[in-house]
Amino acid sequence: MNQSNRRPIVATIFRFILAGVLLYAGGIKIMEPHGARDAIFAYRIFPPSWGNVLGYALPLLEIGLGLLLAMGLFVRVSAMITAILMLSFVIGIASVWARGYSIDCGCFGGGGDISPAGRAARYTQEIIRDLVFAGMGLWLFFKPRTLLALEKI
Amino acid sequence: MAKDSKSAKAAREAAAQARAEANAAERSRERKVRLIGGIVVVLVMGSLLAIPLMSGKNKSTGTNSSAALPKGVTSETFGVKVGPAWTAANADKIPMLQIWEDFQCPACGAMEKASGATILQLADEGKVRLEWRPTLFLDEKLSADNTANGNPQSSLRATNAFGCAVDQGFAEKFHAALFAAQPSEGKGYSTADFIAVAQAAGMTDPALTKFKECEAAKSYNGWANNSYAAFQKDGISSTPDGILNGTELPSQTLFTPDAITKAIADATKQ
Repeated sequence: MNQSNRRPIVATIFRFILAGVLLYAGGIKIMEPHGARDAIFAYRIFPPSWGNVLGYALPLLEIGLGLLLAMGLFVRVSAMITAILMLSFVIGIASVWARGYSIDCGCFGGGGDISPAGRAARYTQEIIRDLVFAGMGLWLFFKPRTLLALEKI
Repeated sequence: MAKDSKSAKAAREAAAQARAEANAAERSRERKVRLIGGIVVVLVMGSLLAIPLMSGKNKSTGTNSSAALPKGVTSETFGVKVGPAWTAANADKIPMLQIWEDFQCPACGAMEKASGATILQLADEGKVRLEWRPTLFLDEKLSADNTANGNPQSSLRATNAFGCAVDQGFAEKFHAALFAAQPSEGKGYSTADFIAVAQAAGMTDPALTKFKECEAAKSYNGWANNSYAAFQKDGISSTPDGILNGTELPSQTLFTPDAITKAIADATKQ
């Protein structure tokens, strides 16, 4: 009993962290649709013509997932999609890194460090961050029972 | 005894039925919650969709075909072509290097410092068809800082001034002097900066007077916006962005004099 009581607490914390991250990330992207589109261009993974659609769709997806996780609805599915989303960010950053592009040109107050060492530190940090979020998503996928949720599992 | 077990059975059945009913009620509540929650989320997402669609509408950056172009610039790319290779007899055999840059972008200034002179020398020697393609994407990003410093739309104004310098035959020198005078990010360029840059580039009267008039008249704002529209259409996002014969170069190559020299030499052999 004691143990099964502890688990929902961890899952609940993860749920709210992910909800906050998704709502924040989606929120700043949707306020600046050109920025989101430019960021997608910068990764040079999708053809440029996809940039506009993805630039609109990505923040909406993030906000949708964030709302569902915040309310505690469809937690299992939302957590799975969130984990996939985070892992695809990791792949995106890794691929940009491997191809030798410097995405943050320092034009957005991002420090402007274009030295290879500074870039490596920055990319590593972002990859670890997204992996942690993906891990939280996976945890919720396997343990979707949380406190303060609208749905009862 | 028999009667008792009968009533006990009835009680069990009643309890089971009550549980089943409670379960059914719970499931139906659950369905309702999920349905309503799902609809709310879809509605929120739908209304949010309106934000980018609306803000996107007043920002359609189309091409203004009547805008004046600096000397030598064509409406094909709106870029400034540098060096004798463009008009050489074997021009099609000489590699073409197009560089997207924003005059406010610190990374562009860093690139200019690192490999700008090398690239320019190769262009002057006719070894590469160099084209500078200005973009203005930082005007939007730095709008608040630029305005606070009294230099709004610094990328647009710098590109306009650059166009005016091109007309006076000072494309290369003004370009170098402008980057040499690049202010810290967000501070922006003032009109006095442009005149100082023109003088630093060696411009004197009567060219300087013509430059000042052209700059003040915003003669090439239209051209600058057209070049920016081409930037958006091509889906370029970060600057500086070097494109050698249509292939984007890794920034490492663009920033390293030896690497860019080698890349251009390799592209020539074919």
